[in-house]
Amino acid sequence: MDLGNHAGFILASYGLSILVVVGLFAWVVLDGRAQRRRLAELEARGVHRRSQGQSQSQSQGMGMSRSAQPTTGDAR
Amino acid sequence: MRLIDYANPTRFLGLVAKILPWLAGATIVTFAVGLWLVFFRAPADYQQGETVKIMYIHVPFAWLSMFCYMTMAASALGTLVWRHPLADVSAKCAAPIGAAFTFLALATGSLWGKPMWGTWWVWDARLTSVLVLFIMYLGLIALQETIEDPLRAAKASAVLTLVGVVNIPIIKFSVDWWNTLHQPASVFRMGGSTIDASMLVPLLIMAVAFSLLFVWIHLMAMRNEIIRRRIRTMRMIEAAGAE
Amino acid sequence: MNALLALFAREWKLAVRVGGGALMGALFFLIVVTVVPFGVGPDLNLLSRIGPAILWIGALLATLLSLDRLFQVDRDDGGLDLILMGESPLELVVLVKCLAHWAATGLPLVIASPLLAIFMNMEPIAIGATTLTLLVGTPALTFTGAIGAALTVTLKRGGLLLAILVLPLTVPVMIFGVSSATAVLYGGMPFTTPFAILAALGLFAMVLGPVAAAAALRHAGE
Repeated sequence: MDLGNHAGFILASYGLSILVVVGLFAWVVLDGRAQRRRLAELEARGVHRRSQGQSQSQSQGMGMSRSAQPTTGDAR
Repeated sequence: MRLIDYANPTRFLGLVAKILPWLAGATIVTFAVGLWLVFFRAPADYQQGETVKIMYIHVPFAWLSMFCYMTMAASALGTLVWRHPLADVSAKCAAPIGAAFTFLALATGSLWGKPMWGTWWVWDARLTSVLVLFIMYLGLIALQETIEDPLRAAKASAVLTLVGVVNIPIIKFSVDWWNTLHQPASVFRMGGSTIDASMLVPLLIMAVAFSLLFVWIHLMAMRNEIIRRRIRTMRMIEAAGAE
Repeated sequence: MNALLALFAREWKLAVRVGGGALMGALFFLIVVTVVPFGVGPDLNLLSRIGPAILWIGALLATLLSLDRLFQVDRDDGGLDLILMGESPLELVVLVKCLAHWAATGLPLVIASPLLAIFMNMEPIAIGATTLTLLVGTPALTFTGAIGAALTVTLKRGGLLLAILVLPLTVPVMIFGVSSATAVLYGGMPFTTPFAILAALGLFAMVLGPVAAAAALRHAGE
């Protein structure tokens, strides 16, 4: 395979793309691992979200708005 | 199976877990086929020689930079109009990916321009529009990072994303009017494409491969963000309980 | 209607009196234009060629700098909550606030530009054209900037972020403003074509700006 006179430019553009895409990928994977580890730590300490912790919490309405709200994780 | 069914993140995470292996496989296979076609089958251009190989990544990046913004715009509508709880997760996670792809569109374009035009950068219409798009991505990320409250950040960036959607055609038109030196769009030109099938097929396969890659990374980033917000909620509950 | 007129009068008075900072914009404009020759050299031919562009860039920066106080003062003293609860449509309130803000900060820039154009060794016809384009173009900048001001209203130091968010959106105004101002210098293109588009952009921003800024303010207040 001959890339001609401008092989450097072709390799540089493919190389840079691979670098950025792999970097993005690594960031997402490592971030995911860190988040799951933190979640496991919290669960090990016995912290529950409202949607899981019916047994401990007093009267938790299961209305649509209540059960939909905390889903993205807002404790407001 | 409606979109609203996946308003529940637990169900969404279940779906993601089922889809991801297939998506990963499809992405890798498509890339393998695409790259094989590009490097061993696609002919050299009679004018541009082998540098035309840059086109097979440059053009998908440019398409995806716009596709990603459209994803964010759809998510912004989801946030503001339907208040879909996953819409702002989607918008927030698409922004860095879009910025990365836009950066790569600019960088590969620059690396293609140097041997072809003899300069790294020309202020021509398309390059300039993509540069403005890149700055808009960075502005959106900056806004998301500056506002601490996730819900408020989501709404502010949704408004800005929609303002951007309205303005992008105007910016494109103004910049086109301002100057043009770039080659005219040749794939989706009226009256059929002028690019030969031996080049078009690898280009389309590469475009599909990069789109699959985008969906893959986007879904993984969304999963991370959902877990991040759960952790945030749990920490707040823990802090409230400790009082 | 009376409420809106009263709001206009209030905004204008607050902006022009001591501590309002309306004339700061014009002063900043003067300094930007003065600094340029130090950067590019005192070549009068060059200065007269780039003069319209310098005036436009100076006006753009001066407008952006003054915009961060557009809603922040009201938020600090609680006036924003009253406006949000008030009977007048929020979009119209934002429109009136922008108009008052422009009258207090944008208009001085337009009035100062012919004087500064003399420093740039511009020809009378170019001075007239640039002043006219600034008169039509600066409201568009204010309306577009209002979106950024509303988005960053909850932030302590939103000024720089405001500029980052708004500058890409002002590219079309900049392009057509400078194009029509330089069209009279070089010919080849009629003045009216880019000027008409500039006016259209101004009208468009007058609609989009208040609507988007009002949406942002409502969500920020929630």
